[in-house]
Amino acid sequence: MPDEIDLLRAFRADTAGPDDAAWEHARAAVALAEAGDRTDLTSRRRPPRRRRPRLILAAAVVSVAGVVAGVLATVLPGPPSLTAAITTTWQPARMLPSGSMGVTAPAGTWHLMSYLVAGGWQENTAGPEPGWLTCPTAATCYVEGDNSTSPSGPADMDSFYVSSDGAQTWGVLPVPDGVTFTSALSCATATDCAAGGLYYGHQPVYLTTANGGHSWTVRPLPADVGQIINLACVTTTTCRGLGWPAGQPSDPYMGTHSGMRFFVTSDGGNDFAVSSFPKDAAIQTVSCPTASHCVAVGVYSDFDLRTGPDLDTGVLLTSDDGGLTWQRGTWPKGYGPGPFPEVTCADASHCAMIGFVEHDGTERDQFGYTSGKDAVQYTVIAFSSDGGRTWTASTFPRSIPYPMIEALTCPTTTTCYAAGSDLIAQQIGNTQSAGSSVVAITSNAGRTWQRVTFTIPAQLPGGMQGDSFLDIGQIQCPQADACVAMGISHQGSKSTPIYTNHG
Amino acid sequence: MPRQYLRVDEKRRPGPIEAPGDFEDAFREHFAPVYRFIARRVGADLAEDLAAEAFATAYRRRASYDPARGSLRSWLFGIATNLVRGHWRDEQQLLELDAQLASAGIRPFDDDADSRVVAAALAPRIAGALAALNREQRDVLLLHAWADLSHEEISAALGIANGTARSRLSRARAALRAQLGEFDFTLWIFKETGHA
Repeated sequence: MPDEIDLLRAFRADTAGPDDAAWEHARAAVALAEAGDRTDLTSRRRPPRRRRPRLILAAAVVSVAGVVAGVLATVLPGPPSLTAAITTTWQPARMLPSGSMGVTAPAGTWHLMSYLVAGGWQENTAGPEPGWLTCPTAATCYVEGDNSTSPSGPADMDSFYVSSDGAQTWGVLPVPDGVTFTSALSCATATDCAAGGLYYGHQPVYLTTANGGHSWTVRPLPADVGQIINLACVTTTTCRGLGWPAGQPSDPYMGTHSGMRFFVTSDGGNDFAVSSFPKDAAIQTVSCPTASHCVAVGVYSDFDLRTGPDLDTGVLLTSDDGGLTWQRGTWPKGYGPGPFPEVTCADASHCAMIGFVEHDGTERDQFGYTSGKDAVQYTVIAFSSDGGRTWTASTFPRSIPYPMIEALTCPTTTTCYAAGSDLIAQQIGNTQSAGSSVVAITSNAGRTWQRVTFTIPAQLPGGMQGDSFLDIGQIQCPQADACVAMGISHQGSKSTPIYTNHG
Repeated sequence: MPRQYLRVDEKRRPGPIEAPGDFEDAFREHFAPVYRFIARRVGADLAEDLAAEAFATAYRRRASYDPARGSLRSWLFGIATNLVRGHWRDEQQLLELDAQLASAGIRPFDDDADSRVVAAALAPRIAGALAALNREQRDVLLLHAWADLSHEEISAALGIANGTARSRLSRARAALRAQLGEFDFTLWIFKETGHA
């Protein structure tokens, strides 16, 4: 039976292939690139010479490159490393152009509060994704700037953004030289925060600040902690999290390999207690609501490399001794951890996690669609009231079709906020989009959900794509009735929408 | 934050592009499909320049091609997709123009109407649906439908994880269906009007 892909294949199917002029144009462009190669080589390494046969040129390229690489390896030093902690000097924040919408709304009303940053955050048209959002209080929020380099952007792409007025206006602070963040910031107070990082791209470090990012202490991490990817601080000195073993190359797929470690530091990052998970578990998210109880979720690490990890079933672990030992739980039926696993516990009993549902869609589903292979995917939220041992899935109402939840936070045992996108089409100015941003709220542990209604601009602000309003990537709720959510903007937009539900 | 998964490609070139002859072979084999992919997305006027630039870029970056990371085909389509991405507005305008084409004269299709004819008549609707997708969704969908790349090849082409490619493609298909409305894929008609 044909499907939408067949329909798409037929669309513009009569487009002609390249004519002779197109072939010639391309050959000329490649020849120019070849000439560029030769020019580069000859200008740097030897006097001009006549064109030689391609094979000889290739041999020259290989041999010269080999010699140069050898010389560089022996002459040039490697990237800097830390052998002891360093503390940076206090730096003032530079205020950014106001992205404030100037909106005041009654408490509890969700609205577009501001843009981060109105003057342009993402100068690279390919656009680095926004970094992690952390709001320790309703007034104070931090965003770790992406560490991508930009050929056209400013030198301070590695920036740290701060707001002290409830995400209305933002300032920017420098990040210590050579440091890139590898985890979200976790703050025990409004100004005492910690995060994982890499020093010059290779050495795992532990970052702390006691003044909201105006200065930082950077400590080299022990090898057995590795690169921190997840961190939660309950006091200014006690933090727990997940680390990826040091010595491994920086691997964007690390989350699906075994070897993730659980760590605890009780002295602000000087010493760490480290424990391991079962070998077949690739743990991706952990929540420790108390010093002793923790819940960890991940995927099986022994997956088939051709198909990737199984997203339909996961690994569930609990600990009652602060992460020293882990007990395996039974993964609930009907959903998996999906591509964006997230577990969060409000106390030792009450936890919630994002569940991922995927099926072929050969039958008409609750939203009325029929479809082909693996075409139906959506998320549910699962709740536990026994400390993460058993779970009950809560599906979203039809008013949120095909939800894809990417962030979940539960400020109380019954109140949770889920953020992501759905498939309700929207139009902003002349830009149509197939989906919309979603924040869904439950105040009864998932029995019912209420969808937030956003006011979006009638016209796209300059420098923004409609895609920025398609999805919400992160949400933080420092109070049950005070949240800040951040849109996405990896589509080339120059700023990111910030939403709040407090005035 | 989203985490990514291992990407693996089952269709691999046996080795890197080292000898000039290797690149010539790649050019001969893949230029036409890459050109056509670009032309379908941004039109023939731009396609000539972009396809030429894609292969010049491929030549300059040939040392970075790693067969272990994916097929040559997926690598080339990845370069092409990146170039098309820089012409988002041109692609969008082309889709919007197609979407505004008058649908007058469209009638219910006979049994013998081939899918291409049907799709031409449905073009405004399809173009409108494509125009409403975001860039990521459109990239994966068109790499799948027009370049015949598998999930694994799409992940290699775009430098994203296998799971992400799979999820993004699924999402794009669902979004496309939502935009197309109640389309009967057996009869190739939109149900609410009885014709396209």
